[in-house]
Amino acid sequence: MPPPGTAPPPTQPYAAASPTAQPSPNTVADFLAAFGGDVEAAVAALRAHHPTTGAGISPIPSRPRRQRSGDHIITVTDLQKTYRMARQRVAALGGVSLEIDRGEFVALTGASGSGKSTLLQLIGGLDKPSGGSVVVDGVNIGKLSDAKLSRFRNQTIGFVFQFFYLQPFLRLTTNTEVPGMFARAPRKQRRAHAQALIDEVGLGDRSRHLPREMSGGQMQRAAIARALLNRPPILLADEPTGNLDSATGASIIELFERIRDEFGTTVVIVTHDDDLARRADRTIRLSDGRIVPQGVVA
Amino acid sequence: MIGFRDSITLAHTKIRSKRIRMLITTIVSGLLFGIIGGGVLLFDGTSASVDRFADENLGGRYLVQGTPTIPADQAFPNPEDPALLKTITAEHAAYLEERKAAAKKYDIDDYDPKDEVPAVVDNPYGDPSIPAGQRKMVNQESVVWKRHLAEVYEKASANAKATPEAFATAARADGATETYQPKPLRSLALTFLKDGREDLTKVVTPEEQQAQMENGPPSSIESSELTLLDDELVSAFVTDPSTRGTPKGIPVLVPVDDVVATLGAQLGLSKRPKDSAAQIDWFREVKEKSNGVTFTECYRNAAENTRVEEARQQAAEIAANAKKPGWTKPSRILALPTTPCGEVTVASDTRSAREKKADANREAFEAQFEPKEAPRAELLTFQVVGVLPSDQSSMSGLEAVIGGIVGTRFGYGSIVPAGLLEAVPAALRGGDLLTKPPVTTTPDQMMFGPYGPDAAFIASFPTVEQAKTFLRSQACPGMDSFAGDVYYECGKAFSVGTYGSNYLVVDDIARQGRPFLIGILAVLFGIATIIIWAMMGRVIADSRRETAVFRAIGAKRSDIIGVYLLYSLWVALRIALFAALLAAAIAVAIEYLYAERATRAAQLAYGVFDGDARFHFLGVPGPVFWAILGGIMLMALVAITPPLLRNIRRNPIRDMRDE
Repeated sequence: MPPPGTAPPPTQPYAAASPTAQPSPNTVADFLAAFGGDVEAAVAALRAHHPTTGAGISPIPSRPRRQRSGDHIITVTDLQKTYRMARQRVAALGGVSLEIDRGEFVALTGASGSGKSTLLQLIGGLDKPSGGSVVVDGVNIGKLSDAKLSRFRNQTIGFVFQFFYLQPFLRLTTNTEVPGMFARAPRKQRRAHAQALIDEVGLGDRSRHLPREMSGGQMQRAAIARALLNRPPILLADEPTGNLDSATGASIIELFERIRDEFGTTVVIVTHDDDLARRADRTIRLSDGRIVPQGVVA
Repeated sequence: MIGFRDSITLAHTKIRSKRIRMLITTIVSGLLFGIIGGGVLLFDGTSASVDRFADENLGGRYLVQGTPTIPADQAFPNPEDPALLKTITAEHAAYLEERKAAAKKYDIDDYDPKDEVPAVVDNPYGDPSIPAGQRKMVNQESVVWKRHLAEVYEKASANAKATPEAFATAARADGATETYQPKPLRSLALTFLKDGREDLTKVVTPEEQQAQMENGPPSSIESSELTLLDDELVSAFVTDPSTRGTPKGIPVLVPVDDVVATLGAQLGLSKRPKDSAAQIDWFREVKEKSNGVTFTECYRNAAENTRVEEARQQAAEIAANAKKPGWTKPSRILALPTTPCGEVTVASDTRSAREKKADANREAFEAQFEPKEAPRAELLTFQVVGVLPSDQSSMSGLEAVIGGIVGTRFGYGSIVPAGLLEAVPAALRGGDLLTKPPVTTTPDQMMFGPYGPDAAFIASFPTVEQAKTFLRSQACPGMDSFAGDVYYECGKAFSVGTYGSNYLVVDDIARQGRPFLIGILAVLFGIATIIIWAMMGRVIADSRRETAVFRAIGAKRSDIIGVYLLYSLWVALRIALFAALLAAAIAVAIEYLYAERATRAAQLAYGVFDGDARFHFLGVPGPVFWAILGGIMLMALVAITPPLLRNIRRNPIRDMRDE
């Protein structure tokens, strides 16, 4: 693995698709193929690299996508969520169904208000659905009591937020330990594991530092370490790179990949960044509270 | 649920956030509570000091005085009462008949009932609705009225519940170990003989009389205010007998200012200095120089005083008329005494046998209706055996306050220790004059019967709690003060109060000041609560996102509650600590600045300087102090609970989105 914070080396499919001349109809098809048929991701890549002419487009290197195992760790069935806003009912999710496999790296994308964060929060048990069900590791979390749901979040889910949400007056090691505190994990073991995770995310030399003494990327790595403390099988990240520059964001995504690879953790991220989404095994696009079928431009 | 240590870790992060707000809250709330706490510490310290001084100077006794009460309708019959007027009129008519018969019996030819003092007179201040001529009242100078009163009070005394025995029984039931009965000796009406001399020829002018009335006597020595009291109660003030030699007269303890006022010039004593340290030296000097000093007083009973007055008038009459032609000297001339407090003698008696018989008949006639004692004059020598602290009216500032709190109170005037008096040879103590003082027959003294109004029964309790129990059992409903002179009527046999010292004055202040104190405490608590409440509410509001994050990473509601309750206790602990330190600082400052002076003031108030008792303002914190600190903790918990409960019920998603 490359050291954290460094850009990953370009991978073959993206390099092959790098346009050096005006694209022909055939090269467009090739270009789309390089994005796995994801038209929106391809267009986003074009816009990002050459907003008007498309010149100098250099797609973000992707990685080989994994085949799905069929071992669903998350099963969402006809999931609905309605909010009341000023006497009006607003449907944030209008019947979403999906399955996510154990160890899969899934990106939820979509425009603002499309329902991707709501979906993530319902999967994480932070909110109750208005209809449908979320089954995680065989447990219908909609039927859990508040205490059991807390335990579920503590043991099964690791949350990573856009703004990190670290405790400002706790040093990195203690910050990482916080989920273990709620799990009543033995202090010694908890601390050792926290230190190992800090080393793993490349912050071994920062364990005595306070959040304000770290950069945004380092704070997000710390937040990821915290999310992993109780060894959850699922990592949910809501716009984890939204507050970071692109290079740092890329390194965070790489960290997710590594976590998935090393720990077999299922990673679900919500992102606006299609370049980053392409690094996922699968991208699920939402629009107006529904999943956009593959190949359809929303 | 999250472990205690981890809760502390997370609560501590809250403490470290919003430091300025926390600091302001801690300081403002701490100041409020600190001031209250300081007051309480000072109060506890003062209270303990009063106990120490009371214990040292009263020998561990807590004295309670009971004064007999007489129902108002018996003590003060309404002189305008028509029924009473009717009775008195009838009694007066019968009295006149008796007088007429007696006058006949004693051959008093010139007796005229019209010369008698009327029993009923016009009442100029009577009810205006009654026609002027019919507004009548009893004449309190009439013999009939005096007789009537005597009968009423004799009957009341016979049925009185307020006997020494009843007092002793009630006191012993509440733990009293001893009872005493001081004897006020006001009926003695002594005259101070300056330098042992007496000049009865000197006529007091009306101006001099007016001045004397306005200024009052300069000391209890000259006003003959004396109380006979058991030695045990005043032993702390009596000097070592070996320093006085053999007894030279009636032993007496005199208030220090009275010694200086009357004997100061003779003994070369200066007036009380202003500085309290100098006052102690002054007090010691007065005590030393007056020890064993004697002074003389003259006792004359009413009959002798009448003779003195007659002799003076005769002397004046003779001086004015001696040279007038045809003026005849009285047939019987009295001579003023030639020795101090001597008896009036008959200088010449040229009355005929018939005149003598007529005078004797007239005396017998008067004696039938108003018995008269034989004339008596007695020269009494007093010897100072100790000095009492004076009352605090002459003091000011802290000395007056301390003196008022811990001062010695044995009634007014000088005290004759009964035991020491008994040890004095009979010839030096005026016979039984002090132990069996003459019974007075004036209506205002008669009306209280044999036990009042100067009568007081004293009970001694070994603990202050027993004294308080007795006081409460004898108190009238709603009575909230036991210090000072207490006269209160509610059908109880006695009016009760502390005696010897104001050992319950602090207790009294606490009880009487409680509503005020509770009000102040409530206001200060209210202000502090609002401040802490606002701060807690703000902290909780600011912590919504954090709570949401905690919930997202697996915190149960109970975990959140635990962390924030610990946080609130932590905040409260800081405030309580600050308040306690401030309170201690206030008390220490007062102690440092005033304790020494207060000790001197207390010693002066007690008049005893050789004891170990010291006056301290800094006391051991009592229950109220700890209750205040506990109240801060409780208040903080109460303050944080509503916003915290609201917070944990919130949807964490909403709070994270608000970010």
